[in-house]
Amino acid sequence: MMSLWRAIRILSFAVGSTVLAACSEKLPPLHGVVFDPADAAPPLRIARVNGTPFDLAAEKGHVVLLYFGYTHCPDICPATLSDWAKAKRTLGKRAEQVRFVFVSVDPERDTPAVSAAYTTQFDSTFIGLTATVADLATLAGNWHFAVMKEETGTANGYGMSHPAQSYVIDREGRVQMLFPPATRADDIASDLRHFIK
Amino acid sequence: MKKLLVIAALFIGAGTVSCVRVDREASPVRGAWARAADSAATTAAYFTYVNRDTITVEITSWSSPDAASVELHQTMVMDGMAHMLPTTALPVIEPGDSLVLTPGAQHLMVIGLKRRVAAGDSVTLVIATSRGRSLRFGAQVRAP
Repeated sequence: MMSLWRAIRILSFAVGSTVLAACSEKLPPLHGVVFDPADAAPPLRIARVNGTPFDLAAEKGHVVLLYFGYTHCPDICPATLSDWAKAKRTLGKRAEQVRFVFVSVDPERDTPAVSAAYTTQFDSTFIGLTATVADLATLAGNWHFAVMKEETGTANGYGMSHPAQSYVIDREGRVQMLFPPATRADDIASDLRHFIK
Repeated sequence: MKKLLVIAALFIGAGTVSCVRVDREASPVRGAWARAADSAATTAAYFTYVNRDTITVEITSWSSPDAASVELHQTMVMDGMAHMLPTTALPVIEPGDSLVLTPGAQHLMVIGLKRRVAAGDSVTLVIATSRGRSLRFGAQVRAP
């Protein structure tokens, strides 16, 4: 299972943002990278800023677009969320069927309030969460990535390595697709239409 | 009177020789923009520097009166993981080539903004080149 994830992930970045035909017979060619078969999403349960939990397992019936990043990342993280916001605007009312979820992997600097405020800069409905120090290793293990603090010696402090892709979890709670970084907003919107009603 | 004006112009000129405000027609800098961010936060700035000269140009430093410091960084994606590292080598731009700073690749980290910058604002950037002059230009701020 893990080796399959890794192999597909490596493949997805080898092709970059080029169009990859969907493997699934049910789906037309899409811009993102499709998993076939799609596996159940790993657990993700994190307290929101108001203390109530965000539980991915409870989001069945919604499509979830998920990204792991950190708020001190001024480049790829805001670029991704900015593209999400454009895609959401393109989807219009149908975007109500999608949860846009940003999870910070930098609990040292990103309190739940910081993550929540950060995401609402892009769209007021975006959900910003922070994995706790205690939960981070388990979360990263479940989602098959390694978070690392990178001391870069810059005035901005340390950096964090984090997954570059966005995950698409379908209404049945399966990880259906990845959007590589720099996937165009129109392409994100176009692909999401296949997963919402 | 004419002589006085010439002398005055020379004085004014002498005070500004080290910093050239970029005029759009002749500017080697194109499409400068930055992302909106709060005061004290870090944002990223992007632009393209086109070397139309006949000799190689090196960007030797970058700064902003609107921020505590500015650094050149590179986002890299390896095995699906994003990393961001400072670029230590100075950018060298051959004649006819361009330095392109763009999201997900090389970008200027504008660290410690002295004020909140919102869409429609401008962040001033100053880059020095090996030609012995500085270019001062505004990066248009876009919504995050």
